Parts: sequence; structure tokens; C-alpha cells
Amino acid sequence: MNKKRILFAMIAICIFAVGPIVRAATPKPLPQNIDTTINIDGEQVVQVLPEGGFIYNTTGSSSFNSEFVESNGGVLMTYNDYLEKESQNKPPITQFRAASPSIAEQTPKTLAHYETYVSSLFTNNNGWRFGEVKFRADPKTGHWLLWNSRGDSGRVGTVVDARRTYQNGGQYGTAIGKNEWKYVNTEGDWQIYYTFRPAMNSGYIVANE
Amino acid sequence: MKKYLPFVVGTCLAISLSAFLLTSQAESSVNGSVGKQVNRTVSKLVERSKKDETLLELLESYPKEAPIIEYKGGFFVNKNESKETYVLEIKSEDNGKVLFKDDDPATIGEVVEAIKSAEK
Repeated sequence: MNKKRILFAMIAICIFAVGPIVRAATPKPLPQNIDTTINIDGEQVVQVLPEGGFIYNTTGSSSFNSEFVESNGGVLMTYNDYLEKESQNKPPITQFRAASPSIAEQTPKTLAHYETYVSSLFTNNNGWRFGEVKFRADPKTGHWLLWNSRGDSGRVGTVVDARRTYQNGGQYGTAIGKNEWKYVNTEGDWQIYYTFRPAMNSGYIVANE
Repeated sequence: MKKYLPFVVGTCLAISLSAFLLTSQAESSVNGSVGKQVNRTVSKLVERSKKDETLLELLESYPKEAPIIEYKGGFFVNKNESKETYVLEIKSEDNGKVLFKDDDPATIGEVVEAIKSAEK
């Protein structure tokens, strides 16, 4: 009787000890019940984000809080328009730059000595377009930043300059010619790049050197 | 009963050994794929190079050893740092909240090489 018990005990130990190891080494099946379909009416307005993708109201509503749209740098369009843009293989929406200085105002970067930023590319957009980061030089290295406007002309100004340009279309800040390199000093204030109707694949470089 | 004992023990040992081997195989497979994982910056900039004809020339104007980190389609380079030391961190002014951080730079040389390989 004792031997039988020992035998069962050994079998039980094997099952419980080895079971978890086998389960851990076995890939788990993907869940089957995740609904990945998106049901949006073609005329429903969606908010297309600068970094790609879009936001839509699951309630079917086409209204968006304008402050959030501005803050996201989003573009409102119908879902059909969005699909058309995607299917036409136009320059990807991920390359849209902000249509207001809001994103840059909230994204500060102090450039260390010999640190450089090369922007992503602007697409051929109407109106003023703004970089998405505001820069200043590490105060230990002075206040000058070296800017290059690649492929088109642009301007560099303080947050106030950029905001005024955005609000009334005036040309505030320092002008930088197409492919020109220029030092800009705003006495420690943050600097933002902006450009009017940027040429396709234009952009900018800013360096602390 | 005694005659079954070696059989049971043998079976248990065989199951344990198989389980151990299976686990090791799964782990080495995972490690293998991690080893081949492409640096985020390299992969993003190879993607950009397909649309930006001037990117390669621009990258080649920086020292090969300079660290580079992609950020939202653009990138940061620091000629004063090395791949081991460079960290890109963007923090909110209000509360110091980290908006973006990448401490895994590539070097300019690595990105240039990857772009040239992708072109072939």
C-alpha cells in the first residue's frame, strides 16, 4: 500500500512540477474575439494627426474641441477624404508639420554644445507652418543658435514672434533665405522655425556651434 | 508494484528532460531575434531615406562616430558625445515630465551603412 502511495506521489510531483514549464514554453494562441474593424461613416469628420493616424468619435459625432485640435496640430477632414489621401499615395500625412506654434511651445529642447537637430520634411502646404520643437542654446555656451533653412526660405523667432505670425500673418522674427545659414540670438528666449507655404521636402537645421 | 517503479521514474525523467530542452530552445529563439533587432533610429532613418534624396549626403557631413537619435521624423546629432554617452531627453517646462527619451543612439556611420545597404 505504501509503495502504491509513493508511486502516485511521484507521478503527481512530475505532473505539477513539469506542467508549468511546458506551458511556459508553449506559445499562447492570439485572442480570437478582438474587434479590429473600424466603423466610420465616410462623411464623418476625423482629426488627422501630424504623426500619422487619426482620432474619431466612436459616437459618430463630427465635432471636435478646437483647442484640442490646435494643440494636437491635427487637421480635420472627412473619413472619405482621409482614405483618398492615403490611397493616392500622396506625401504621408506623418510629414505634416504643425499649423500653429502650439506643439513647439510645449516641446522645449536645450541644445548642448555641438548638438544639432535636423527637422523632418515639410510638405507643400498652404499658409504658415511651424516647427514642432522650440530651441535654445545651453546657457553655458551663450545664446546664439545656427539655423539653416533647407529647400525654401523661412523665419526664426521667439515664441511671441511665432504666435504673432500665426495670429495675424505678419512676418516677425529673423528671415532666413533658401539654403542660407544664419546665426540667431534671442537673448536666451526660445526660438522657433516657421515658414510660409513650404516647398515639398523642405526643412530646417538648427545647431549650437 | 516494484517492477513498475523504474518505468515510472524513467518516464518522469524523460518528460522533465523534454520540457527543459523545449524551454531552452524557446529562450534561445527569443534571444536570437533580439540580437537581430534593428536600432530604432537606424530603421526610421532608412525609411526616411526612401523619400529624402538629400539625407545621405547630409548625414555624411557629420563624423561617422557621432551619435544620432531619430525624433519624429527628424533627428538629433551631437558631435561632442559618443554612442555610449548620448541620451536625448525632452522634458516639459511646467512639471519636468519626460515627453520623449531615447538612450539607444546609433552612430552616423551605422545609419549611412544601413541606408546604402537598403539602396542595393
